Amino acid sequence: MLGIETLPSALKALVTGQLSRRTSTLLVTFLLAGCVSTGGNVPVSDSGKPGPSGPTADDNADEPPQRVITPPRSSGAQTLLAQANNALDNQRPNTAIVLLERAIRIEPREASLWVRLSEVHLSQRDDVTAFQHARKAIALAGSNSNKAAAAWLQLAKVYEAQGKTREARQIRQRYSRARG
Amino acid sequence: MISSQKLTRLFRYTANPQCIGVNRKRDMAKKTASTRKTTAKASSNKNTQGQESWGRRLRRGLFKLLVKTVLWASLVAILVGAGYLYYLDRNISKTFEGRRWSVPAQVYAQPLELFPGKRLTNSQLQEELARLGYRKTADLSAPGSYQPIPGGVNVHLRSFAFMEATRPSTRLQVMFVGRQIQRMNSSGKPLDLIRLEPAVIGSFFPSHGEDRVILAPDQVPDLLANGLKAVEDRTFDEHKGFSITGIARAALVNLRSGKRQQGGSTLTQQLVKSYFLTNERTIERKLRELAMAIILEMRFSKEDLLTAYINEIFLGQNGARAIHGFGLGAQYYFNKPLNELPPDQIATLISIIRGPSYYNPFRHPERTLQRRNRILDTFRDDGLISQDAHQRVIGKPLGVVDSPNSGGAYYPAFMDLVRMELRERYSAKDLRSQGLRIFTTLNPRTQENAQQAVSRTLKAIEQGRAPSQRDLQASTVVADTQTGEVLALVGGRRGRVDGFNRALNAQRPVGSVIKPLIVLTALENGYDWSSLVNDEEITLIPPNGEPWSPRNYDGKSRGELPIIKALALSLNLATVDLGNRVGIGTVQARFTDLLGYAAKNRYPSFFLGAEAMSPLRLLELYGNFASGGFRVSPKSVIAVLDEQGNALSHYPFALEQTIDPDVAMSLNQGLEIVMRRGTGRSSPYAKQGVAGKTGTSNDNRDSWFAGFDNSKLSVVWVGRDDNKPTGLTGSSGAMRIWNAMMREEGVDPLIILANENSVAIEYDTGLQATDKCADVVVLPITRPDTLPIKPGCNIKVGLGQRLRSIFGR
Repeated sequence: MLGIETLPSALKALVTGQLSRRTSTLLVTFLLAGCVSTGGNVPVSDSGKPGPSGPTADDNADEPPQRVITPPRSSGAQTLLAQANNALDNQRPNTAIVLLERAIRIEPREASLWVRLSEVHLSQRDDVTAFQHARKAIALAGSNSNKAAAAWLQLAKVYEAQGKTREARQIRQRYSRARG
Repeated sequence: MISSQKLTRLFRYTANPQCIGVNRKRDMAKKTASTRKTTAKASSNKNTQGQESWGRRLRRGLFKLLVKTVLWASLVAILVGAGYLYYLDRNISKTFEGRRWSVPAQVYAQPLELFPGKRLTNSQLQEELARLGYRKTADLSAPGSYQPIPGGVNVHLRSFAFMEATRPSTRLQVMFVGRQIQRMNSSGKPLDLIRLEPAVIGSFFPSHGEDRVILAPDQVPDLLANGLKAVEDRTFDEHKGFSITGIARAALVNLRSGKRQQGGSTLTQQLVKSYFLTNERTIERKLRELAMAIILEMRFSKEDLLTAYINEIFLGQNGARAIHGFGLGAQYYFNKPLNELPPDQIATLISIIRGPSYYNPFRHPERTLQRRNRILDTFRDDGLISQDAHQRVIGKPLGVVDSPNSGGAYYPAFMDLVRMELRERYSAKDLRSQGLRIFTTLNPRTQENAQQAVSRTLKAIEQGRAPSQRDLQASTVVADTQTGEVLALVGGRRGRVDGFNRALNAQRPVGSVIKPLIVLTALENGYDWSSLVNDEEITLIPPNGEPWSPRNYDGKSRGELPIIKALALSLNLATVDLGNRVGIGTVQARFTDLLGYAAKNRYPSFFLGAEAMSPLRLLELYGNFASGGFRVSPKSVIAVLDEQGNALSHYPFALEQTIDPDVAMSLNQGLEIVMRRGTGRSSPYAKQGVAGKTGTSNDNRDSWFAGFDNSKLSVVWVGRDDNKPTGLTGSSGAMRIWNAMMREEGVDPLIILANENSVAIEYDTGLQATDKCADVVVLPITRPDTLPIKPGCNIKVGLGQRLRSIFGR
């Protein structure tokens, strides 16, 4: 199991003077492929409804920061996310899990879906699954700061649920510093 | 008793009373004389009297004994008969009740999700609909039909009880633009998401191979119920289990024809035969059948019996799987639910009953067609269908699916995996009788592609080979890279035949496909892609083992080279050198971390894949890489529902982070170079953003390939069951199958997330370079500032790095 030290490195210029045009093109292709898969940037709130974009960090470590979840790109996954949120509103967490898993089958690399799934598992007191899904979200978020923020803050919530307040606080502080 | 003489006398006395006085005198005289005679006779008979009474007694005794014996025998027979009937009754009732509701678990594939933007062509959707048994029609009046229109397709979806909710039957319009869905409408309103119902891919029938789809009485089409009676048993509604007229009629027909043309069995007798009896033709069996039929009729209603018959009757054999009942028969022969069959297809199914082998529509279509038409005539004559309907269908062909294996999906190898996963929670009996509904991860399209890739590629490889070299076998497993869900599993070259499942159970040395594990361990322990290893001959002497001198596949050694080149070219000597540097214990500890069990081979030959694994296990190992550093156990079951649709268990995504995401990403970049420049370069997809590794065991006995793109991870094995050499390497055997799969599936290029430490290094030396001065590959390096620069390459770096590049590493 990996520690919280494995925070994602900030995206820096990849294509330096050392790289040739061919290798640069290759990396840019990869990056573009990532952009296509990870989708757009229309933010939605926890309820799945469109919300304002803005800072994703919380400057106050004692208060859970407001999260902005970038929605999945496909309408199929978006619909399922909305249905899952609706199921949660109606106290049907198991249905929400089934719906979110369907959404993930459509967009398995979409970090925000893993974050949401982690949240639902946490609400069901399944912190082991919630932890791993938060980790998955972090790994998938990569250089997308919004998604990474949401994923890390979800991990902080899992730590809190596990009584690991020090680790949770570290994440919040680091995250706050990172956001500057 | 009064003798006749006495009666005569008595009559005389009473008839003439005036003569009594005269007669009395005469009688007195006679009596005196008679008394004298009698006295004389008595004295002479005294000697024989004892002998006569003994004989009479003997006769009387024998008679009594006989009567008693008969009485006792009758009593015993009655008791035994009653007991036997009681036994039969109990047995029949129990079996009937048990079988009537013994519903094998139905297993479903993943449904196809449809939404605007989905990559799917019009023809692909129509293929999927055809696979689900949808028929192309002009009016869409019934569920299970579709109608192509310019730029799209109209569909009348069937209703289906999904896990979350039941979706009612729905009319849908799907429009396409390019190779994706543009928009969807239902009842004139735009639709964001809908899914087709999932294909049934099998069921857990008992070990003796009987599969069935159980129907309730209200699910039985009227035409089938009435048609069966009309064709098989006209007096079904009246008789009590047997029909004398039926037997007589059959006997007459058979007598006239001189051969057995017609049976006199009622539907109840046929049901009894199917449930309890064998096909032997003896009087005893016939009597037993009769008794059982009568008992069944006494115990159960006609509707129960007819429904049981419809669910039970034998309709054909598909390999080891016996096709029982009209529900499964409809799926097997027509790939449709029973309630969607037109009259001619119902008639075809009824025609098969008489002799599933003799009237096999696949083998004897003409014969079956003739009988079907006779049955359609009966339908018309009995008023079950109109004259018009008869005219419409009488000229139609049989309309069965192309081959016995294309009617309904049946994937026994995948079912083995499902069974394995469910074993912990559900008993075999539960799976065979509780009517469970099991939703799985199987993607029918990927499964079909994988099966065809295996069978066609092996056939192509074997062309031109000597017969003794043609016994190749193969297996493959395909999974989603991120969730670990198994999308396809092929256990042998005949994918639809239930047999030894090589994907799960064949344990074969994995060869060089193990090498990424050694490289991963090295990357995690201070080595970089540019780190140099020695590709030189070496002899190792383990503490308690034989000296071991590995060799490269081509017998050559290449001296010092960077790890990336050693991996790309799959060099044995360099890998053993690297493994020794990292340590066998460290490498095997990672093996345990990534797979959850310890390797069996504790010797350095492990570095070269002298470790037997199944394709499924190897898939699990590569799942750690393909997922970006998560252990995702291959999984086939999503959820299990009971007959009423209540969720009994749900199997959520289960994963555990095992590798630092940056290291996993780095390894995947290395494996991408293996494909582009190394042993995978002969693949037509090598430069399209795929990662992979070939493997070949000693003497070319096993050919392996593990490869993945952004969405799918596949492992392929090719070898022989007798473990003889195949003459194939990883790239000439297993990778060809993977190529064939990718041709159908298409490549979803790998997403390599940005890494600030990515550096161009010379492929041959590992020195920092550019493509202007060297043949380079771009890979992440832990400390790029410490990397020596290739002389002559004009790379601007700090003084420290410049000095290090001049004075060595």
